Amino acid sequence: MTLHHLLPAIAICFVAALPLHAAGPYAGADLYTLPPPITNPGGGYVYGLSGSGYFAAGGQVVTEAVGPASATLYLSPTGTAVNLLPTSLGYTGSYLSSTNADYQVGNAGFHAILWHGTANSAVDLGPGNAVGISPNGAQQVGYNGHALLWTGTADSAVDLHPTNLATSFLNSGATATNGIKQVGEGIDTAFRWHALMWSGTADSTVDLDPTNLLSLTASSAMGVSPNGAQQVGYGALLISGNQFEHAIVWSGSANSAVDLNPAGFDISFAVGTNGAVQVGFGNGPTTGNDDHALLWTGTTASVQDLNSLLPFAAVTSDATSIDLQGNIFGTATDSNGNVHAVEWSVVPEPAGLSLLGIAASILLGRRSRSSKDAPAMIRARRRLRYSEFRHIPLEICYGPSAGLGKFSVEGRHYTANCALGKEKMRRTKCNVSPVAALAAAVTWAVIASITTRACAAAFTKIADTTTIAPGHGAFVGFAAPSLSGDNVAFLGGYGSSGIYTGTVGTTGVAKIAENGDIAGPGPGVFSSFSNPSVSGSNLAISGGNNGGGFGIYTGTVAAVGNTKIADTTTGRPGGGVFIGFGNNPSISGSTLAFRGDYNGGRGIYTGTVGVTGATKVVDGGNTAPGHGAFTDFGHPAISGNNLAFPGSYRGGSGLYTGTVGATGAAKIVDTGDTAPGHGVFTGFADPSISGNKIGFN
Amino acid sequence: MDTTDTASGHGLFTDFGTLPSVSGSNVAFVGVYSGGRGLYVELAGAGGSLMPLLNTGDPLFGSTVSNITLGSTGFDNNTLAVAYTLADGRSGIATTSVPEPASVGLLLVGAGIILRRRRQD
Repeated sequence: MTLHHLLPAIAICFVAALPLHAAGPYAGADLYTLPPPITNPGGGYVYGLSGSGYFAAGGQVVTEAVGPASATLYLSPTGTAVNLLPTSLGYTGSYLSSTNADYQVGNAGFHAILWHGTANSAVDLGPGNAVGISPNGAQQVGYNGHALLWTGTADSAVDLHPTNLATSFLNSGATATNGIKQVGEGIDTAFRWHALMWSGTADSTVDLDPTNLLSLTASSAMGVSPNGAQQVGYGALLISGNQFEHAIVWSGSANSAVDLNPAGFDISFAVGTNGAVQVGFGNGPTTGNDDHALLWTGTTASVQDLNSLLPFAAVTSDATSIDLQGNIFGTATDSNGNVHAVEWSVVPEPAGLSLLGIAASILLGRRSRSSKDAPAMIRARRRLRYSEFRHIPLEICYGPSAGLGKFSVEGRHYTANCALGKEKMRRTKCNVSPVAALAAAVTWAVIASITTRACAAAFTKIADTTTIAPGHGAFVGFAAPSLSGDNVAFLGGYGSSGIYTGTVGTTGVAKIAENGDIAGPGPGVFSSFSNPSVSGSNLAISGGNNGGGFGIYTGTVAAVGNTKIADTTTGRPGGGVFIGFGNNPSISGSTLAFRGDYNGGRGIYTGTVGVTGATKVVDGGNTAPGHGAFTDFGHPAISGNNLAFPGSYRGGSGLYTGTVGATGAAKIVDTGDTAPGHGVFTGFADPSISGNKIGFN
Repeated sequence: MDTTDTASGHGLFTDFGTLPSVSGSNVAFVGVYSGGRGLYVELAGAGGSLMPLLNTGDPLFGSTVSNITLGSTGFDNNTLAVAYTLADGRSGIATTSVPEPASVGLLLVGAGIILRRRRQD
């Protein structure tokens, strides 16, 4: 038997003895420079390096809409890009999450996708997102509301959502697999994240949420060793309202957790383990708050900062995976912003080697040469996993519900309770509430940009098309409502139509008037309505009646009935009678403002609740300031004694104010005036007024 | 507010609903942008914050919003009443509260601290 024949056995011995050697000493190598990031306003993309030196990129996200992103696989060392967009499956966008030497996983159209190096190899695994893949590619894990495990086909999907634990989980997700064990996380009904581990079935779930590190408020597992005995991830602490993550290593149980966060580091993550060495990254005062790749051998004190071992001045670095031989892969950014694929390898000790050490040295020598000359051979031996680092734009909203946030990922919107951390943490965990669309919730994300805005406000329904219009069937439609204090008034349709009121915060309506009801003193009945206005408990209503006439009426919130202010029998100030009225009368207190029509013109009038009759503010006999006589009017708005209304004159139009009890109009603006930053105004719509403030289009 | 202003996350406004509604010094309006429309409040306080309250596509009452309509008197004392239409065909009347300008300012200060921390980091 030759030494050559002995090598496999030696290699096995070496692996078994790995803890004695794997922690170094290490030397870093610059494998190659990655292509520059895909840039797009508001966009971000995936970064990651597999143990093979492949890295994945893609997943461009454009603001709130999904851009035509393509999952792209870059092949080392040339950086050749392979577009994995699965057009054969009909998808127009795709995102790559993870790759090993041969297979890739990600998603397209919110379906999990498995690739084998080409676009045409794409396999649709069904709804969800695949984010982890085993070293041999046989297992894929991800989530679709529940943690999922696939073995290459959609039909193979296994729902891993915990069924054997006392804790109930709202959602779960698997992030990594070694081919036997799967790890990830689940969120319980108190919105606490638990690190979880499975052995292929839902009833095999092990809750790893640390029971021996009581200061933690959440945990998540991100990696599992090849033999399944060791898991890594992080635990979260809330300090002064900010979330800080600490790298954690487990040995298969919740009470085995070890906090690896080194002194001088604010945060750290452990993302990979070979069973003896844990790798990840962290930052804090010690690093100038820049990410540095780290390794540990099971204890806080064992930490080694890998950043300084690189052959160039790395500003930041991450370790993303480690293989059985202890080779660590990651990325690093230089001072010019270029991202490098990097590797840290164990340096053979020069003297005092034991027989086992000699064997290891031989093997490492082969590995080292092979990594340059025959990478394919080495890839097969390496543990190849890439933790999803997805860059997303994060949109944080504020108010009206403090602490309730909202973020958007790939065009989908989520409500979340986001605990923002530091940018260098590279990710922010949002505790997603159990609302719609959780199916595609992103478990891990890197913040690419932050936009703050108001939260989507909490709305309370007054009525909808399932609400019964009093005395009839369900409403079929609604016009824009009017609001005063807690009183809401609106025009609702139910086949015919009526005027209704409701109360802010309460579902339910009360009829004021409907078609067929007597209009004012009668004898005509209502045949149509326009939008009402409410002020306090008073309503202003404009309605037509079956006699062909129109009128302005008042009503009282939550009370059936109406009182005439003016109709087409009412005398008009200036002579004659009104022949019609404009829509949408306005009311403030007990004073109404409305447009009245008469033979030869129109005017703006006021009235008083409980009193029949109208008082002129302005009509066609008055002059538009700076121009000739008014020729027409829009609909007035009233607030207190102030009115605002659009008016027209020959050759133009303007926006005017008037005063209750006084005749005449004052110009606010007209079509001879310049719209700020533009040319002259060309027209005006009906205004809104509050006190002395006027809003208009 | 005009069509040179930006609807956060949606590009420039392309149009506006016919009727804005004024309450005190605050203005509510429907703004139209490419691909949708939203209900906004321009707060006079806190540096003139433009606050989007509801956009088409947002979840509401178990569906998503397909249209929002505001009347000229739909905004009063920091409460808004609007008519809406949902993607599932339902429509209705709903109200919502707008944060007080003071509290919004306070929250914005908090957000600013977070962003500064991020930049420092």
